[in-house]
Amino acid sequence: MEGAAPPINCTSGTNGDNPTNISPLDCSKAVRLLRTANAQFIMDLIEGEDKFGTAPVRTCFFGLTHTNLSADLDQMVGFQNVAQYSNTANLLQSEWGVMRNIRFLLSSLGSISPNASANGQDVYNIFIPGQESYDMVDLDGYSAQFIYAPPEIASPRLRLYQTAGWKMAQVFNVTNTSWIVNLRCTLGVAI
Amino acid sequence: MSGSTQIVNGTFVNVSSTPKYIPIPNQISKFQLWNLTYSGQTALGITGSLTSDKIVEGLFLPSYMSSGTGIIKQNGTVAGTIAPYQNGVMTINGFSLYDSSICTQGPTIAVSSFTPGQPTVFVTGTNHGFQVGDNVRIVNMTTSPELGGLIMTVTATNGTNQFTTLLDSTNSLTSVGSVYKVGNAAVMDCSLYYPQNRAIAKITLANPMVVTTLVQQNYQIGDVVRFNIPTVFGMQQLNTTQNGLPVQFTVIAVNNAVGTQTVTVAVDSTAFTAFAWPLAATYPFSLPVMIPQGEGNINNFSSFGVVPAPLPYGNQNILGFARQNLGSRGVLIGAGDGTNSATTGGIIDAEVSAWYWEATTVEQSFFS
Repeated sequence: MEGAAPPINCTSGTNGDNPTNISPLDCSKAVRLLRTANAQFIMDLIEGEDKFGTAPVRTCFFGLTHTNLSADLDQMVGFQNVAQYSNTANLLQSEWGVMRNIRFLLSSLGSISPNASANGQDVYNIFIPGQESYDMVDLDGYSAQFIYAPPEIASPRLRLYQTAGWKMAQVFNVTNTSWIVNLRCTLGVAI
Repeated sequence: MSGSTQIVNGTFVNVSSTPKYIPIPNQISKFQLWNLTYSGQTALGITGSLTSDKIVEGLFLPSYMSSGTGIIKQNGTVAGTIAPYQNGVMTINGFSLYDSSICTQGPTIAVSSFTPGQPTVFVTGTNHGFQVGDNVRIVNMTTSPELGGLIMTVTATNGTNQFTTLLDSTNSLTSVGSVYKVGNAAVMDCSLYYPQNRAIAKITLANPMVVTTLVQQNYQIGDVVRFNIPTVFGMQQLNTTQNGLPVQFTVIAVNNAVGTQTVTVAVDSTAFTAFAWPLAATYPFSLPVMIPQGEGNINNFSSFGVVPAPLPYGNQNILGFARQNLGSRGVLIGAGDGTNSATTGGIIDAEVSAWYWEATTVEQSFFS
């Protein structure tokens, strides 16, 4: 996705870098870009319920990013942690919360462009796909194989070593670059 | 030495003044290269010509030598059918190993200044070691922060402390900063996605419109592209309109040579707002990018002088190989003047030569 999703920088944060740290306005701009391109939301509305400390959740895209952004997300005014959803029945394990129309899924394997900002700081890529913006194709009827070669095969002369490896035959396609965005940001809360 | 030492070999004919990348999946313990043409051998359709003062043999030992260097043998002055053999070292534009699955970043080097203009010549505080075709990123540009973070292809170097890119810095102030290498134009980017977005250096007001990219691209005639141009760069006519339908353009010509890096698209931009890199006051902003959107055909562009190639015969399935695994590891051979000059040197020169190479994988080594 880093190579394919059109990049837009966060510019409304306050850390003085380019891209800046993430802000509510940057989230709105990314959603506006996708919606104007007729990208479809991924998640349905969560209606409000009569529970203290909760609020409804808008129809949303997912924002896929790195766990290092969790503190910056918490710092945004209006950010709603999953604990404040009016209904938590269909949460994903990696879900952190919602800002405007983006529900953030965090992973320690999220995409980082090292030292790539104007000030030489790490840039965090937040991939925001709309429905059917990308797909995956399995090739040749298999997606992955684990292959083990014992010493008799890997080093038949002296049987000194064995090998193990895996191979995959998958292709990821971006089907419509108008329906996916890479919202780039830096950290406002230092690690 | 014992075990299963492997040798793979091959030949190629170089493109004038262009670095050559050879994909070699093996672990490379030793790489050797011979210029058959300058050694007087006719091969691969190139007539041999024993030539004075040219590199005819190169050796690279990755375990012991720095990236971009080499041990070379260079002809002295030819007398009849023989030339003296001179040993030497390459300090620039030699051999480099690449593995596209590993995103490695070069050492950070201080930028002392640059000359605002197009192209932009940067001056570094120490020897940068860049080769023509390297992709570099500038950061921490104190008085021109709007340029920070850009990745650009090096289009020329003086071999020591200057390098040139196609950036249009006319509206910027010279600045100190930092630069580091992130890859090379001849090697697939480590994201392995094809074809990729490209940041834009400049766009002409012309018919047809010509787009110059900061980094060499791999687009083809028939690719369909769209643009995302932030307001501060002007030329908003290229952006997607309010109705949500993408404004798309078909590529009708491509020049992917390092230092040219242009894509010609089928649109008349003579009446458009000019495109220009903005002033520092507008920082921060998003980059202007050209985004591959799909593939079309060039059947209807005769008004741009394009010979029609209607489907299904012409220009068909040009993005088909985007589904192939383009990751590789191999050896990059640098380009320069064909000598080991410390300022203008490089193994491949402006002539077209026939080359033979051998890569050796040693399975067992003994050290003392």
